[in-house]
Amino acid sequence: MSAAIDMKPDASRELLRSPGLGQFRKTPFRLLRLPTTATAKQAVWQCDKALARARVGMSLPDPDPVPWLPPGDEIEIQEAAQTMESPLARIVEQLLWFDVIDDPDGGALHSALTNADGVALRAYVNLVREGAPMSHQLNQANLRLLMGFSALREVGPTIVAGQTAAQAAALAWTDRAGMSIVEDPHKAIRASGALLGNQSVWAWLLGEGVAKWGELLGSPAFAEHVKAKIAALGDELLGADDVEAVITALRTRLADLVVGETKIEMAQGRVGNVAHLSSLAGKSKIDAETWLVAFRPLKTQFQSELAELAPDAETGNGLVEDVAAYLDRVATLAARWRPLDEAQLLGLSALIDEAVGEAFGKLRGIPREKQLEQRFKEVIDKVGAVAHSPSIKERVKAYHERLADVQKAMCHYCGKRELEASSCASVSSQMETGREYFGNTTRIHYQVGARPVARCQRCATLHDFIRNVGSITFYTLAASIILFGLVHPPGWFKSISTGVGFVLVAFGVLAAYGAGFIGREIAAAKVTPKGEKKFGDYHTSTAVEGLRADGFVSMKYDFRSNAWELVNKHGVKARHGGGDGAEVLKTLFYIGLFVAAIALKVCARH
Amino acid sequence: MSTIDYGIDLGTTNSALARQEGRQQRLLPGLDGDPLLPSAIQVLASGEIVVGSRAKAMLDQDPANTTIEFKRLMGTGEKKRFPAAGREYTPEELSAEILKSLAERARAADGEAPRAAVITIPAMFQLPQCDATRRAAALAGIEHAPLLQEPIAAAIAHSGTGTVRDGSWLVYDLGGGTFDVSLVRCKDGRLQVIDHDGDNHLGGRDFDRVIARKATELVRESGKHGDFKRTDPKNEPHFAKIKVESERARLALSGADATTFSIPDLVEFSLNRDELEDLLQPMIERTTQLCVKLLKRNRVEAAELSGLVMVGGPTLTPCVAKQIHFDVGVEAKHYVDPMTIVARGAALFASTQRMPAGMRKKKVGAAIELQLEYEAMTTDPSPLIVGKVTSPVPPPPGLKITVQRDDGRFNAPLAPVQPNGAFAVDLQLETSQLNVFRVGAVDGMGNPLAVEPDTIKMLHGFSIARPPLSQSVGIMLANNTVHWYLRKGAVLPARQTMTHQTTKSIKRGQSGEAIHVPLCQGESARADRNKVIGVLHIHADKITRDLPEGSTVEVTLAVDESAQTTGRAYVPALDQWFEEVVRFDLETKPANEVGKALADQKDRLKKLEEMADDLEEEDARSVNEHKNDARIEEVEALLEEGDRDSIDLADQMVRMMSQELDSAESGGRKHRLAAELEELRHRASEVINADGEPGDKRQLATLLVEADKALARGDLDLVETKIDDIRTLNLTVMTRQPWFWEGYLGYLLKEAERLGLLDMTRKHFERGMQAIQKQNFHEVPGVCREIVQMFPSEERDRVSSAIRSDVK
Repeated sequence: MSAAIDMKPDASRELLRSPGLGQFRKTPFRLLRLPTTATAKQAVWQCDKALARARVGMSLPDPDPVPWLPPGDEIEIQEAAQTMESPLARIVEQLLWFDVIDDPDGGALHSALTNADGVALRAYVNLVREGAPMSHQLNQANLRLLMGFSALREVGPTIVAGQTAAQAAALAWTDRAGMSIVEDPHKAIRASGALLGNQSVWAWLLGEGVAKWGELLGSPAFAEHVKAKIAALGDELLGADDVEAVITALRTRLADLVVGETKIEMAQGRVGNVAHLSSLAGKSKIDAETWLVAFRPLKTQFQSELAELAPDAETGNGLVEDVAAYLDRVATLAARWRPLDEAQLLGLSALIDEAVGEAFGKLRGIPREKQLEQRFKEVIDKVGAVAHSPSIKERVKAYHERLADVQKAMCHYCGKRELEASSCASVSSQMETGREYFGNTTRIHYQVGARPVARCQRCATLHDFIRNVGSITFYTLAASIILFGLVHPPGWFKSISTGVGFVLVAFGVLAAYGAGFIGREIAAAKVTPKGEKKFGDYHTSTAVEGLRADGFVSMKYDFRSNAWELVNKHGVKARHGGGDGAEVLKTLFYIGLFVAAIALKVCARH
Repeated sequence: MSTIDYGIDLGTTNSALARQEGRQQRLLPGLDGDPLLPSAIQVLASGEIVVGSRAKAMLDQDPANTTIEFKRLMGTGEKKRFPAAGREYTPEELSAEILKSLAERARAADGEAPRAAVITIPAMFQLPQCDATRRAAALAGIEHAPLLQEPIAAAIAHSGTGTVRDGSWLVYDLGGGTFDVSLVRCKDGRLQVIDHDGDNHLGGRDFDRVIARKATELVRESGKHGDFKRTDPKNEPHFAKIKVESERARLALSGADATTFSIPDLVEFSLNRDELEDLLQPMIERTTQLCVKLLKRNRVEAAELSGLVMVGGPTLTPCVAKQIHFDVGVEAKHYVDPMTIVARGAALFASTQRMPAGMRKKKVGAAIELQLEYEAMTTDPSPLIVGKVTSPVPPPPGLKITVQRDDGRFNAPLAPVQPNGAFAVDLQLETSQLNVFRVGAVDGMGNPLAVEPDTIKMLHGFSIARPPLSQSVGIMLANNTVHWYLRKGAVLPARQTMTHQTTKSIKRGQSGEAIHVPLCQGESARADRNKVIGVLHIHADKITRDLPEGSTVEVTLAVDESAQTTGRAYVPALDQWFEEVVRFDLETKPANEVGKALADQKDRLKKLEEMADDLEEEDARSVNEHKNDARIEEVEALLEEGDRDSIDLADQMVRMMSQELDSAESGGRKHRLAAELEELRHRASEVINADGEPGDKRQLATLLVEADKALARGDLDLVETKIDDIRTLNLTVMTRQPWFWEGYLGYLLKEAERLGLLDMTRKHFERGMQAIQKQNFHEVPGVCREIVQMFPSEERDRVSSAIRSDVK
């Protein structure tokens, strides 16, 4: 009763594991040497005989129809008999086996198979029969599958020779210095996309086999054929209603065979074969949904490969660089995967997109000021380049646009914080739009324009401080000079006339203005953080660009902390001293002071 | 004796032993003349073990030292303690005592105890439980014990005795602790189990349990015994008495219309058949639902069945047959005695099983020893017998084998023995008869030689297909999926090889395990819905060289007809084989975990009810059925009972409910996703076209195209991803709009009011309102976030997710 695990020698392990060959190796019709018309009862009897023989080391007397495949063991023989007793499973096996009774060329096929005669098999493959019965069409498809899987595993008779690299790529030979050479042959072979050697044989056979099956599965004639086979079986558990179930089972089985082989090739690292297998799936007429379901288990292998790329820990180069490096790795993998899944049945593009999406998510979590750096934008571009899905590319594009908008909405000076409307500086300009002459009077028409220079609260405060440094320096010095000019000790400057004295004071005030300017520049140099624009650097702002675009040339710049607010409140004239009450008062105060000083001086003289 | 011939029904409540004699089975009775042996054990203070009816009689008098129904705990690590003797026994040790007692019956009848016997197990037994049964047999001295599924044994007894009954049948096997239903077919004498289903935790004992629960409630209501908790040791004798009386009352109601449930000084009430039927109805319905499911799965109409065979004592309860007829639409009958049918079937099956070579009695003086291969039961009128001369080797030249049917009407031609000792003989059988053949040999001179064995028996007209695996076996993966080794229905023996990778590098001589993968049994694609039955493991200390991470390991798992599981692993990098890589360890969950799982399922059910409109009709029906599912209350009651068996049963029921909800969730997945996409298309288009930026609109357009394509291809995972992306885009656009945050702030205000957090959050709300008034909308999200942080942690997720659900 106990089931001994009968392990075959290492050499044949791959053959035993091959699902494609397993289909033909373990089918009850081969293991029990049964015709496709055999009843379940006959199968059970034959199974008993085969088991009894196997246990004493004897094989069945009939010849093996596929002699190049390993024989079945006890468990497989028992499974075969059980399959024959399950009508649905049996009919699927029957349709995937060779019907040599109803096929007019069945005898030749049977003989070619049992003798492993490559030439005869090739002849059968090349047979073209108009209006051939369904059994012949099925045999053609099944033979291609059998020979394709056999060629893939490099067993069985050779029915067609493979192409060499040179034949496949049709290399262009040139004569150079008396020698025939091919320039960069690797490139030519790669560019030809041709299959080489044995690969061309199995890919061709399997491709045709799967394609033929795809066509049959979709044809009404095949459905009728299945119905007839079900009727011939005469099992009450399977009726005419089950035709669709049989067709679905066949479709799934074929997909599983191809996917099973793909899995082996993947495990062996034979990437080229994986690509060919997945592409033949894409070219078959079997619906994508069947393939997607069949390929799903493989997805986990790719997923784990992708998961290995994710950085376990930060490298210390910052998140942007970590993500950039990750994207590079994903891009390499995507390039390697792309040929494997041209038909997009493995879902590899979706996996790449998932990884890219995650990377994109990480990037979006980076602080805003970092996002405005050029490097960040480069990495974001990389996301778009690696992604396969148009929607991710669109997302990246939209993000770029948003970043540009954000950039516009960022403080022009620091570039780190968002602008605050109440803190913006302003540039204004006017341009002549026309003149009217009324006798001696000329009326000049101007168009006035003003735009805010984006500025944040902090920069506005900073600029206010810088401005105050300049103003305080100027006003303090100017006031001191004027006062000194008025109230200096009587013995001093006797030789200087009053007129000259006024001129000197005026120069002194001018110097004070210069000192205020220098003070402002020194303060600006000291307090403006590195990498940020200075308070006077408004020429590169979008405001100036905008005004220029509108035709304005000369710009007037106001960097007071509420400059733009004043423009909003009072119009462009605010820039020209019209609107700011405090400024006017301050100016009036100094004018008053100056007038008072002159008056005092004049009174003192008299 | 060349065949096993003994069959044992090792039942939860009763056990029996039968022997195949010709075409008939003989039940071997005990000293009391009863063929049934109650599966009860009492351990006396002296250490003496009392088995059977004597032990059962002591159940209400000495409950602490008496035990029944231990079969339900087979394979678990639970031990039963007998305080009087101060000993502990595992369920398999207790089962071994039952088997020993049965073996004694054989010794009394036949002069010697059987060394081999077919033992029956419930079809839904898991592999560790089968393993435990085999261990029990070994402990009882039964060296070779093929296991046979009970419904198959019943089907064999039903179809194979007397006239073979052709047709399809349901075998409804309601035992003391388990329920199995099998769809069997007998065609041209070949018996085949098409499919089966069952519940490992449903049986007559559960019928008694509902009666006991009613009695317990009455005791509690009376208030004489406080809260009358089962877990209170002083109540143990009372509960034991309730159990015994419940069984008595149920059996009484099988014959009478009414009975009195009476335990002096504890509880007394009258119970009639109608009341009993009301109590049992939910459980019987569970069994009939499984029958209907089985028929539907195999696309068999009730009208196509030839009948339904009832097996097991509890099927004698009158309402069972009635309910089956009503729900399944087929007449349920007892064709053979339901209490002994399994033992009879086991004996018939045993007569087809040849004794292992080493256990056969050898005839003294035989010159030639043969190894004969044939099927002892066959429908083939011309079978083949194949053999090999095992002694002497090489066989004498010119040796020929003779086979003669004992009725003298068939003599096989002399079969020459090949140089390797092999020979083959074609036989002719008398149809529908037990055929006995005399085997002999002649030497090259034609002199007859004695051979061993010299007789073979072949029964024509009936044969049994190999049993299918009752539950799929697989390994659990980290992403909560299962990689199946063998699927349910695989014909036994079955074998599968799969490749795994080591997850860490292993140094030679290092301790630990190079491979450690949980094994599970069940049918769900979600690993946690299945039962963990053990591990696949390879000890690192056995490796001969260092093994890098990711090395390939090929594991082959094989299960034979007796559910005996073996595992071997091969590591190509080491070119080394590892034996016995399977270790069984049946998962048992604590009550709190089962309770938590139940709460999760209730939550899921609630969510499914909310989306019932989106589900396909059938799935919506399934959800509605669950809404009124009596099992939820049943599980709660079982958890309250708190014993191992009740918790296991509760766990089983929760898993079953989870799987049904999984199926309701995933059944209409495509339909649901299509509806979801359509709805989202309208809503998102409206929002994004009105408020989105050009980039958003472009994104939406591409996402919709991608989602439609994925849906057309049937790539539902991708559709789900795209739906999530559209939802996120929609949310992103909405969160850019002032009205969204205005609305969310309003929602938070309501929530804060409800939770009494208004005072604490007032300032924040004022700030938010002011920001909205001043149209400083960029401030509002920050304020909302601050408010959410002030909510209790358990509410935080809910109010945060409200953003998403609002978008939905």
